Amino acid sequence: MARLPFFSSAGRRLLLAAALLHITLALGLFWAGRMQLAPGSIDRDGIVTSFAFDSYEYQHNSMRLVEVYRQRGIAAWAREPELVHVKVISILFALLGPLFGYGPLTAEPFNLLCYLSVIGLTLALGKEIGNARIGQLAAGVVALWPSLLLHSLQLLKDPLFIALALALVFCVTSWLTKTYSARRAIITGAITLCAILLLLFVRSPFSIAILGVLLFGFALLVLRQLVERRPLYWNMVGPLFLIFAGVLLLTLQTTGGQRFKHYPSNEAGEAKAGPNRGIQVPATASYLPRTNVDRSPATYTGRLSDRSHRMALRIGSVRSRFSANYSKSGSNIDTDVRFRDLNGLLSYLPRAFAIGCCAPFPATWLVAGQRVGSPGKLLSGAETLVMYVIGLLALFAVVRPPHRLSALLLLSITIFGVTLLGLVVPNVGAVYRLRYMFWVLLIILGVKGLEVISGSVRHWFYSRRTQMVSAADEPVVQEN
Amino acid sequence: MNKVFKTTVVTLACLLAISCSSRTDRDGTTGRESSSAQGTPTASSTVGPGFDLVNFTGSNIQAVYLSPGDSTGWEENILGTGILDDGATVDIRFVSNETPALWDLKVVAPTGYYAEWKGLDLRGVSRVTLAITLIDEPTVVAEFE
Repeated sequence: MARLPFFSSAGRRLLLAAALLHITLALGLFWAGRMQLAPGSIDRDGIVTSFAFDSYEYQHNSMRLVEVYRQRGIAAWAREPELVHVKVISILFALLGPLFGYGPLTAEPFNLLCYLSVIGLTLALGKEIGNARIGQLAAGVVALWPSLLLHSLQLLKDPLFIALALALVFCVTSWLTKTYSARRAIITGAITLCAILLLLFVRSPFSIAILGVLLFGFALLVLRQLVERRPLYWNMVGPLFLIFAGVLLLTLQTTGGQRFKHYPSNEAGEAKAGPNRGIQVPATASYLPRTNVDRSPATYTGRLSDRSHRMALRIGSVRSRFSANYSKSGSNIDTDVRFRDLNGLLSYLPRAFAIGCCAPFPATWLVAGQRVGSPGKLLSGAETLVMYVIGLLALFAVVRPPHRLSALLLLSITIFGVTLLGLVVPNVGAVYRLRYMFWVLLIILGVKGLEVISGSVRHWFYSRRTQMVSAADEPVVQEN
Repeated sequence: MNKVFKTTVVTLACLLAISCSSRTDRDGTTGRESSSAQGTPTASSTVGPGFDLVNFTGSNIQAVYLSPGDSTGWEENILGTGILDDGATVDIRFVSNETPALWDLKVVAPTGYYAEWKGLDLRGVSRVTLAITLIDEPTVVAEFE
C-alpha cells in the first residue's frame, strides 16, 4: 500500500483547526436551536430545516432503532434493515442521546469523523497530484466551503458518501502514482474493495459512476505503462479484478430468471372487480416502435446495440423517477426530457454536462428558492461563481506542464460524474448536493492550476528581470 | 505501517460490519429469485413465446399478475415467492397452445402500492418496461416493444 501521506505538521495543524471549527459550529447550532434564535430556520435539535429536511427522516429512524435496541436487544437492532449512517447514528443516540438529545450534536463524533476524513483525503490527493502545499491549500478551501460545512453538521449521509468516494478516488489515483509490490497491491485492492462496498451500501445508484472511476483509472494505468515503457503487473492486479467483478455484478443484477404463465390458470386469484388492498398508482401504457426489429440479437453488434438501448432506457427511467420524487420542487430543470434510445441520450450529453457542471445558472442566483429562500440561493450562486473560476484554473492544471496522469484522472472523473448527474437528476438542488464530491476534486485541481499559473507568472517576471539586467550589462561590456 | 493507516483500516472494517446489517438506499439491488412450483410447466404443456418484464420503477416488485381480459380474477402471482428487484428483468413465458388476445396486468410493490393495466395486446411484444414518470402526478408507464 502506498504510504498514506498523513501528515506533515502543517497538515496536522489544519486538521486540528478544522476539528475545532466543526465542534464549535455543532455546539453553536445546538445552542441556537435550544435558544430558539431562528425558530423558522433551525429547530430545537439544531437541524437546519431549509436544506437538511431529510435529516428528520434519519433522525426518526435512528430513534426507532434505539428503541429496538433497548426493547429487543442488539440482535434485533442488527437485523433492522436501515441505512448505514442511520445505524451508526443510532449507536451514538443510544450512548449520548440522554445527555445531548437526539440531534446533530449527538451525531457529532460521526459527522466529525466524516468531515475530517474528507479534509484528510483532500490533503492526500493534493499531495498525490502535485505537492503538500497544493493539498493543504485545497483542504483549507474544502474545510471552509460554506454549504459543505453546513451539510456536514446535519444528520445526512452526504458526508459519509463524500469521504468514501474520495477514499476510492485516492486508491485509484495511487495506481498511477505508485509502483506496487505484491503486498501493497493486495492491501490497496482490499481497501478499494471496502470503499466500493460501503459506497454501494450508502448510495447504490452510483454503481455506474464507481465502474466509470475504475475504468478511467485502468485506462490511464495502461497509458502510464506505455509512457514509462515498463509493465506494472502488481498495479494491474487490483484494477483488473475489480473491473471484472463490477461488470459481472452489473450483468447478474439485470438477470432475473424465467417465469411461466399458465393459460388457462388453475388459480382464480383476487377478484378484479372487488376492493383492492393497497394504494393504486396511476398507470398508463405506451407502445413503442419496434426499435430492435432490424437488429439481430444473435450477433455481437446486435447485442451491443440492444444493451445500449436498454442502458439509455435505464438512465431515462432513473431520471423520470427523480422527476416524480421532486415533482413539487421549485428548482426542476428539463423535466420534459425523456430518453427512449441511445441517440436521444447522446444528443442530450452537452446539456447534461452544462447542468451538472454549471447549475444553478446565473439567471437564477437572485431568485428566492422555494425551500432555501433568498439567502440559500445567494449562497449557492456565490459558491457556483467561485466554482466557475476554480473550473478554469483546473483546466490549467491539466493542460499546462508538468503533465500528470493523476490530474487527468481527477478531471476525467469530475467531467464524467457531473455529466452523469446532469443526465439523471432533473433538479438543481439535488444536483448541488450530489455534486460535492466532484467539486472537491475540482478544487484540488484548481489549486494545482493556481500554482501552475503563479509559477508561470514568477518565471515570466524572473525572465524579464534577467533580460533587463542583461540589457543593462551589455553596454557596460561594450564600453569596457 | 503508521497509526493513521491502521486506524483507517479499522474504521473501514467497522463500517463494513455495520453495513452488513444495513440496507442500501433502495430495497435491494440483486435479483432475488426463488422457484415457484406452480410456475414450472408440466410435461404435457407447451412453452410458447413470451416477453421480458423490466422493472425500472425505482422500487421492488413482489407480485406480478397477468390474466386474460375476460377473466374475473387476477389468477396466480407469476413471481411466486420471489421478488423482482429494481433494475432486474424477468423472462415471462406463456405455457399454453393458444393465448388470448387481450391481457390485464397488475404489479404490486412491497409497500402496498400497485398499478394495473387492462386490455393489453401482447401479440408481438418482446419486452415490457415499467418506469415511473411524471404526468401531473407520479405515474407508472408500461412501455411495450
